[in-house]
Order: sequence, then C-alpha cells, then structure tokens
Amino acid sequence: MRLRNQEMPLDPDVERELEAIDAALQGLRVAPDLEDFAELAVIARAERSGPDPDFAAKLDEWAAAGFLRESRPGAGDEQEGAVAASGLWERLRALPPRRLLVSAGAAATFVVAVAVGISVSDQLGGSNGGSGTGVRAASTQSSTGADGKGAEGTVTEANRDQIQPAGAPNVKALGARTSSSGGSTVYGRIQSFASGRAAHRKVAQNANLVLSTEPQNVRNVADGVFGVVDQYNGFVVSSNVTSGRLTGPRAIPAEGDGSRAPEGSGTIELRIPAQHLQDALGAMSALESAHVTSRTEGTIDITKRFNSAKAHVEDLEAERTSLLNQLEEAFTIEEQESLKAQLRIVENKLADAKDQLSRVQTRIRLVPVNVEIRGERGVDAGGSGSWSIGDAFHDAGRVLTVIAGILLISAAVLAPLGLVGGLAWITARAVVRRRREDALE
Amino acid sequence: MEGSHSRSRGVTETLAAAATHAPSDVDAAFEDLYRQSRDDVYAYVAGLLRDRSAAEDVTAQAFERAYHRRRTFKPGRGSRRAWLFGIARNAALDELRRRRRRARLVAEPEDETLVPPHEGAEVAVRRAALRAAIAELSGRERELVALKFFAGLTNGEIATVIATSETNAGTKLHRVIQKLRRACDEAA
Repeated sequence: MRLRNQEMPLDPDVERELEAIDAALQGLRVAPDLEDFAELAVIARAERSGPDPDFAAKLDEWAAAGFLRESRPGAGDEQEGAVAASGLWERLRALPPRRLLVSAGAAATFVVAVAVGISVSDQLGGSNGGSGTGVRAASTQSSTGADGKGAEGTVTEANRDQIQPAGAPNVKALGARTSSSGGSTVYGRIQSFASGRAAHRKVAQNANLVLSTEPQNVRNVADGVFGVVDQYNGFVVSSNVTSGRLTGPRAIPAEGDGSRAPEGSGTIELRIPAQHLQDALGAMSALESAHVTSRTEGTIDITKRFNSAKAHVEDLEAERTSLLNQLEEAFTIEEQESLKAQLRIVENKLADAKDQLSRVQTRIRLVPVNVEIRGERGVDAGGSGSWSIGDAFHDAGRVLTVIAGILLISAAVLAPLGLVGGLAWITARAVVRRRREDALE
Repeated sequence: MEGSHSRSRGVTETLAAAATHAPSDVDAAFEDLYRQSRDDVYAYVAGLLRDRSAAEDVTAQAFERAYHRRRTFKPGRGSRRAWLFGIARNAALDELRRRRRRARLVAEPEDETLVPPHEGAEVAVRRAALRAAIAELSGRERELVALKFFAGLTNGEIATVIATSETNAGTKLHRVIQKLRRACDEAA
C-alpha cells in the first residue's frame, strides 16, 4: 500500500496548493489564485507557540552541559521523581538497539559458555587421573563397562554402591572416587570401613587391570607386576608374557582394539590378599612406563554360600560326634561295625565339606586379579616424563574439540533464545508503536 | 560527549568559550540541529499536547534522547530534522498515553497574547476561526498541522516522521488544509 502511494503522484492541483503553502511559510509570494492558501499558512503559523525564554535559556544551558539527566529543565517536582526512577530505562533506551543486542548476546553467550565449560570440565576432571593419562582415562569407564561382565558379577565405578554389602554406607555418597591411574586408596579405605561395619558379610572380590606400555617395556612392566605381588604376599597363578619389538614396521591395527595393535603382550593371573587388594592395584597402576588403560573391580556377596558350607561342616561334625558317642556305647560287634561304617561315610563327607568351606574362605581371602599388559607403540606412559610433539597435537586437538563443543552447545542454547527474544522484541516494538498511534485517536 | 566531562563544547557561545577539545562531526551536526530545531520542536510538541508545561518536559526529553542516540542517525533514512522530530513524536505520544492513563487533561486556555492587538478585525476573526478549527481536529490531523505550520517541516520530512509515503502525507495534509479553509471561510 505504501509502495503504491509512493508511486502515485499527487494531483497537480493539490501539489500546487501545497507548494503555495510552503512558499507562504517561507515568506515568498504566491500566485493570486492561491493567496487564500498563503493567508491560511500565515495565520496558522502565527498560532505557533514559542518556548518560554526562561525555559529556552535553561534548555540551552542543559544542552551545553551535555544533557545531564539529573538537571533536565522543564521537569516538575512530580516528574523529577519519575525521571529518576526511569533513569535506567532511559539509559537502556538511549543505547542503539544493535549495541544492546550485541551486549545482551555477548552476556548470554558468556553465561552459557561458562555453564557448558563447567559441565565439560567437570566431566573431564572426573575421569582425569593425571596430565598424561587424562584423555585415556575418559575412555576407561566405557571399556570397563564393556568388559565388566565377570562370572561373579563385576562392579564398575558407576554401580559400585548398588552392590555394596548390606548395611554398608553408600561409598559414592561419601565422595569416594578411585583414581584410574594413580592407585588411590581412598576407595580402599572407605571400603575397609564398610567392610568393618559389615564384618559378618562375606564378600568375594575380583579385579581386572589392563596396562599399556611401549613394546620394549612389556617385560619391565611384567617384572614390576611380579614385584608388587611379592610385596603384598600374593602369588602368581599363571603368566604368559611376550616381549615386544623395539623396532620394525608399525603393526596393522587389530579389529576392535582402537588404532593400535599389541606389539608384545602379557597376561598374568594373580591372587592378592583381600586386605592388600587396593594397595596392590594402586602399586601396579603406578608402575613406571605403565599406563592404565582399564581397571575393573568387582565384588559379590557370598555370605549365604559361606554360611551354608560352614553349617554343613558343623552338621557333619555334630553327626560324627554323635556316631562316636554311639560307638562307645555299642555292645555288639555288628553294632560297632555298622557305626564305624557310618562314621567313615560321615568323615568323608566332613572332609569334603571342610574342603568346600576352605575354598570359600580362600575365595574371600585371596582375590583373583587378571593383569593384561599391552605393548603399544607411542603410548608414552606418563611415568616416563617425556611429552612428544604428537602428544601436543593430540592435546591441542582435544582442546579444540572441547571448545568447538562448548560453542556448539552454546549456539544450540542461544539460537532458540535469540529467536524468541527477537520475536518478543519485534512484537514489543509493534505494540508500543500501535499504542503510540492510538494516543492520537 | 557522554556527560559533562567529555563534552568540550556546547550549543551556546558560552560553551564554545569553554571548549577544550575539538567537537566531532557528529557533535557539531547535533549542535547545528539543536540550534535550528529547538523552537520548532517545542512548537510541534506544544501543538500536539496543548500543554506548555508538558511541552517543555517533552521537548527536553526529546533532545536528551536524540543527543544520546545521535550516533545512530542514518542519513539514508531521512534528514536529521525528520529523525529528531521522530524522536520528539515518540516522546510526545508517550506523554499523551501517560496523560490518558491519568486523566483527560483539559486543554489550556487560549493565550491571548498570541493575538496581536493591532491586528484587523477580519484577520482576528479568521484567526479565531482557525484556532477553533484546529481545536476540533483529530489528534492525527492536529499533528499534521503542528508538523507543517508550527515546525515547518517539508512534506518529505513529515512523511518520514509519521512513517508513510510523501504522497500520502501530502494528501492527508491537503485534506486538513481544506478543512481549515472551510472553517475560515465560514467564519468570514
């Protein structure tokens, strides 16, 4: 409609009359037939109100002072309060909309970025066991979850507290956290506390530890594991260690094993006294040149099994005692022979029952620990202290990835907010404009 | 010129004497605009509001807003005067809305000093008729009168201020002028 009006020229007569008005207002002469328009313009112009000289002077002074808000002329006492009250609003309105939007957007971006950053850093921090192992530690949980399906039920960090012995405090709630590489004993201490509280419960544990090292260090790491076993009075059930190559072509990555194939490896099955399990795992995790790829610990409550075996032994011992008493009181040979036969059977059963109970006790006392050593080139475990340019690129890539993620999430949060804010702003402007126009009705 | 500390010159000669820094182009342009438009803005606002006290406040408010937004002026969107009167219009309409919310203000009594005593009887009659006719106009029509005759804007500037095309503004203005002419002719 506006475009059409712009394109349509004014009626020539109308245009001529309007031009006469303009000319009269400028003090110019007009055509005789338009003198009444000129007279109207002059009379109407004479109706013009001029500012009061005092006000004009004050306004000039105020302008000279840079239009300071608090000294605005013309505002009555009643309005001065309103001016002061609406000072902030006026300041905001005085800002160019673009600058206001940019400022608001920057503030919102900052807030969202900080929130996302805190969230991301918390996730990284929760899995970061050290400067050299942080990135790998982040994947420990997933590999643990995938591997943690032992015969007796494996417990990961995430669900450890759900399988705590009955009556034990919630370890998670106490803030316990097992370091994936540092061999922290915090969890162990809390677990000991929990065990103390639930001493009547019988818990069987198991653990799996995967260590990565440079191929040439596989043997050294294996020796370190053996040393730890000796230190904590454990023993090696079986071991199979293959030394890695120092040089040679890079191996083709094995399927499902990330980007590196083992170059030298070892599998060691251990038994570690339960009371030393955490310390031993910590010591193995802290071995020089070794890098913890995965650490999984599991527990299972075998109290029922233990009590059953123990009760069976006690029952058989009672039966044996009874048979012995009967044998002492037996008179006839036949009766004695019969009791002796029963006694032999019971003693055999008792031996089996004791053996069973012993196995259960051993299972509780000695924890099976499987240690896998992987020889991988370029692992460069943190313990060696060196840090290559490849690590720098890797870390830089990680940092950039995190930053990109923060920006992406920020954009995802801000885009709809900006859209809603923009629509609200447009709507508000339209409403204000409409209300202003209505004021003229 | 964000406050008195940074303002190095003003719109008066007194200020110019106290100047310590050369004004920027924007500040100089605003200074010129203020000098040229001070009375016109007041006349327009007073004609719209018909209240001298409110007109003074709105005029001051309009210049204050314009001063703080002086760097947002876009030459492509119209003249500086049109831009200034757009700001003044918004301030005046806001004031009208406030007054409507509070109570309908009775228009101020006519200022007798506006009628020159030496004026002829016929002109005085026409003047009175015109004044009465203006008072009878709707708010939109009275605004056009104020913009044209009191503020002295061109039709193009009026179009920019009321956000319409120049042709449309001219057409509306012509209708109002015809109304006033009829009123004056009837009185004569």
